[in-house]
Amino acid sequence: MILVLIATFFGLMFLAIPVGHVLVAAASASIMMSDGLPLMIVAQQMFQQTQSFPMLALPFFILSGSLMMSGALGKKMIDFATVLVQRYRGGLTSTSVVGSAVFGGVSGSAVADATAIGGMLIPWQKQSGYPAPFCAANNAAASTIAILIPPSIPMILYSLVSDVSVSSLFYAGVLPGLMLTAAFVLVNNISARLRGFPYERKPFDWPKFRELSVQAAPALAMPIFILLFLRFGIATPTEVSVMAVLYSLAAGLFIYRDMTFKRFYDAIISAGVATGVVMLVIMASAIVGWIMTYVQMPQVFSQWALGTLKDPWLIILAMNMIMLVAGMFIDLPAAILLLGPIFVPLAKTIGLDLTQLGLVMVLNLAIGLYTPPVGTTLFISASVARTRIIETTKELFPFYLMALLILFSFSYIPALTLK
Amino acid sequence: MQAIARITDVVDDLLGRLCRGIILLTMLALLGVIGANVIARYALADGGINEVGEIPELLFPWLIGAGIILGVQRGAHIAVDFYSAALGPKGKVWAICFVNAVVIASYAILFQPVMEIASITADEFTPLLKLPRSIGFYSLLFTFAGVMFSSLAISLRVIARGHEAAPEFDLEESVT
Repeated sequence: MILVLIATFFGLMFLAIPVGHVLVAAASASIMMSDGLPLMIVAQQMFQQTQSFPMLALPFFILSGSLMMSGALGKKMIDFATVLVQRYRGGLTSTSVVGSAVFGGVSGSAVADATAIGGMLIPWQKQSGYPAPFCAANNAAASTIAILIPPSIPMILYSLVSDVSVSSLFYAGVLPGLMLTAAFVLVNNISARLRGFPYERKPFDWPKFRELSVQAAPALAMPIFILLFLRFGIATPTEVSVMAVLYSLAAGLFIYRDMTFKRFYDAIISAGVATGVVMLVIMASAIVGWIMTYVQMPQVFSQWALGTLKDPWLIILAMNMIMLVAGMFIDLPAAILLLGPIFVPLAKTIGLDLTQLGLVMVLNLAIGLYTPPVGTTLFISASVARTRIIETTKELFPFYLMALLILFSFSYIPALTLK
Repeated sequence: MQAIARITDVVDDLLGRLCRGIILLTMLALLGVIGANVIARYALADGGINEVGEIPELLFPWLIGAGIILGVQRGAHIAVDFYSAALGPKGKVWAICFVNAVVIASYAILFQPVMEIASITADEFTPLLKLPRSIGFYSLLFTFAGVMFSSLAISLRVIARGHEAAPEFDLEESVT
């Protein structure tokens, strides 16, 4: 049964069939080949996921991000990041990094950040004399900071498979998000010094900084509101996501005054499609998860890992290696939903905190977003910068190094997981 | 073939409009209902509106279904494509038709089991709104039917007009 599942999954995936459909087909084929299991299980498992109230947070966090980013606010946030870091060596590309951290507090999506920030900043960086592959590499890596800063869609997905509260995951995600920001700014600074990238030393523009701080404040405050509301139990994650939409609407209508019905309508349809895309993966992964539980795969994997690798540090290393490879081929939501049910019981057995595992998973799989052969932010950034994937990948090495350093710090130092 | 593709395109367009309508209505309804419940929880003595729990259960599957179908129409479902760039125009058409044939077959075999569950749950009613529980399962049937039809429409379109007529992979609707 499990062999049919694995063979069908990889066979169909490499034939370019979308991952959500592949999961449905592989699970159905696996159940049809089993001894007497009815196909009704597929329908029941798929439907069950649509009845999850916490999952309603997905469309509304996506919608609030889309509403915030599609208006004048996006430009103001980039200007804010530019004023902060432009005057330093590597400042022009560091703007993308700081911009991603700031945008991340609104969008929660690396792809949205890579598209929005890359589209705005890469042409300007290239024009200023930065090499196109470096600009693309920086944008591809930096945009993944967005999925660590709350609100984070991958964190919501991990909470689904681990039962760790969304509030704990959002709170814990802030530190790795800020550490990645600092690390990538450092890469930009060192690269600029070593390779002589152009920069313009100017005094810090306090009046402009103050003006932009006020203008960007509604967006900068959003992740703080989200964390406070969740932390103090004022509302559930779903309710907070709805409040975030109302807040974004109010900001567009009364502060920036650029909200139109068309913008609102487009954002709703776009959020609906994004929800459908990710929910199909969630619904289909639930059937695969059911099959894995039915054949006791998590227990078998735990026993194998404990028997073969024995030491917890080696098991954590093995989990990281599996996730790194999986992240190179499988899209992040599917990887979390498929690996989560296997790794969560194993983490419990070796005493690895589940919030820490969540951070490790998201940090790890985020690297897959800018790693070939299937790297979404890598493809977007290289396309925006009009450069080749291979050249961009070469420029990514210092970013990989920093990301891996942070990943292994969070894997082996539990104190870094804030509670 | 051109005539058949034109007819399926018209129906596919109507299906897209229906899905956009469903997304708009369900999102606005959910936004209103959940928003009102947060206010009611702090304003009312008994801590919120009980019926609110049932409305998302009924509406969310329809929102998801409409999103999945529009995702098919817009090419938003994420795929790992290693080989199509190496194919010629005819090869690309066959590859697209093969992908869509697998998708159609995958959902066609699930139609009957979902129908059975829907007929069983038609006699069960939600406690507060007294609505049949089969409504949710009908959304699953709608989703499967929509995905199959849109996949068929894409196949006919590329056979009639070439591989350029297939929807381009749309990263704008990715959530990572």
